Amino acid sequence: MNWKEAAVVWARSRWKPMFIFTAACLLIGEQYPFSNFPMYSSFGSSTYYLYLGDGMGAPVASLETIGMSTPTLKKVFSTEMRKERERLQIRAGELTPEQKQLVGERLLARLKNSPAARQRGGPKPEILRLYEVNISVRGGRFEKQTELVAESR
Amino acid sequence: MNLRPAPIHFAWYERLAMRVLFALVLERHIPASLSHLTITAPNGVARIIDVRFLLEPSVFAVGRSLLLAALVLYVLRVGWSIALPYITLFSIGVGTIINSQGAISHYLQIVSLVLLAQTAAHFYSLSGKGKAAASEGLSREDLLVNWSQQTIAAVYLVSALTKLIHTKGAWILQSPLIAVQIIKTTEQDYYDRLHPAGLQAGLRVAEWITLHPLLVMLIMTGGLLLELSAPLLLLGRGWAACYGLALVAFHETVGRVMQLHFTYNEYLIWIYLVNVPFWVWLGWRRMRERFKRPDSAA
Repeated sequence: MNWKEAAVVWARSRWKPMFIFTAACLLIGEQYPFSNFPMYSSFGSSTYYLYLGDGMGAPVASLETIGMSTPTLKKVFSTEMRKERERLQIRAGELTPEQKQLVGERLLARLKNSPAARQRGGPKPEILRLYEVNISVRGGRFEKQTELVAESR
Repeated sequence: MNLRPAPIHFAWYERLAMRVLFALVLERHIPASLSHLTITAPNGVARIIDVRFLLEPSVFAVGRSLLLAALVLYVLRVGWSIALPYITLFSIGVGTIINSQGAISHYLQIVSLVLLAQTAAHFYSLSGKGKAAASEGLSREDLLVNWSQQTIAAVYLVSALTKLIHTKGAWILQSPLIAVQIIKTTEQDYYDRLHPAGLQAGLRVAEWITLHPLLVMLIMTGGLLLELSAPLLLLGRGWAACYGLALVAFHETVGRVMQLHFTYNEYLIWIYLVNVPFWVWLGWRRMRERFKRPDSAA
């Protein structure tokens, strides 16, 4: 099939909108309203999430404190970590625990005083902590490790 | 088998139901206010245009009132050249802000994309090229519904292709590792409100998955094939309804197991794919024919 024949086939195709939207979503990626819908597009043997705690280490309901869900909290933290890596021009490797702590402290301070926290959140503990939980599976057994990332007063 | 999408002529009651239901979805997908949000990581058009004016409560209230007026026009099939672009732009603006907090969510895209498709279909039908569709007996609204269906198919096809691209085709082999993700989403759900109700169930599902990896691969293959073959839903009413119900079952399963809910996807599937009014009408007609008394037929 030469390009002229291909053009005729394309012109007669009733599937054009689907092809155009498919191509646009794959090429443009995560730019609203387009998306390549990458959620759970690959799986590793480990993952992590974040949660909030008070000064005693007891968990705090994130929706009722800062007006933000824990999946969103993880995504926001991940974006801030990426921005920090770009700022420090770290191309490979992770931030040091100290750099990560600084990102966490800035994020906690921002979230505590955010419009969402003011409008949707309830009372906040005097000390708010950010914890990271790493989950992995090895030999059919789950392992969990929790570490304190940052705290804000 | 004919693999050309079948042009479907929708009856007036189907089109009316679709317009009313989609308008209700559109009203619902716009929050009452955006003042609780801030733009910390601009996404989409927010990278080019400053959309912070929508965070202003008074501006947003006016925008929302205009949206309601546009939705009334949409349902009445009046002034679509103004109403559809406005609804689309407002939906994209709001979705852009929601996704500009440094966290991308994926529950709204399908609504804005279907709106984009409907706006494009509307103006296409007004153009000279749109007369080709009219020559097949398709009304402007039939074209809008068809392009909406094509957009829904595209969303699922993209999701499947991304899985294959990101894993170089090994998504099925990796799939039993979803157990780790289930523990994550279950515990995230707990830390949202500290309600422990779903914790044990999530853990049990994750443990079951690690014990039955082959069965999990088989189930996940079904889900991937369903997404990958989504274009088949364009082959006719029966295909659309069967695919629609399968996709609803897929979303309900994911919702129960992983606490990930795609409510707007389900709404659009019910409206544009399952299309309950048509099947109710068909069932009623068949019943009437079956129970028609022989003497009345004579």
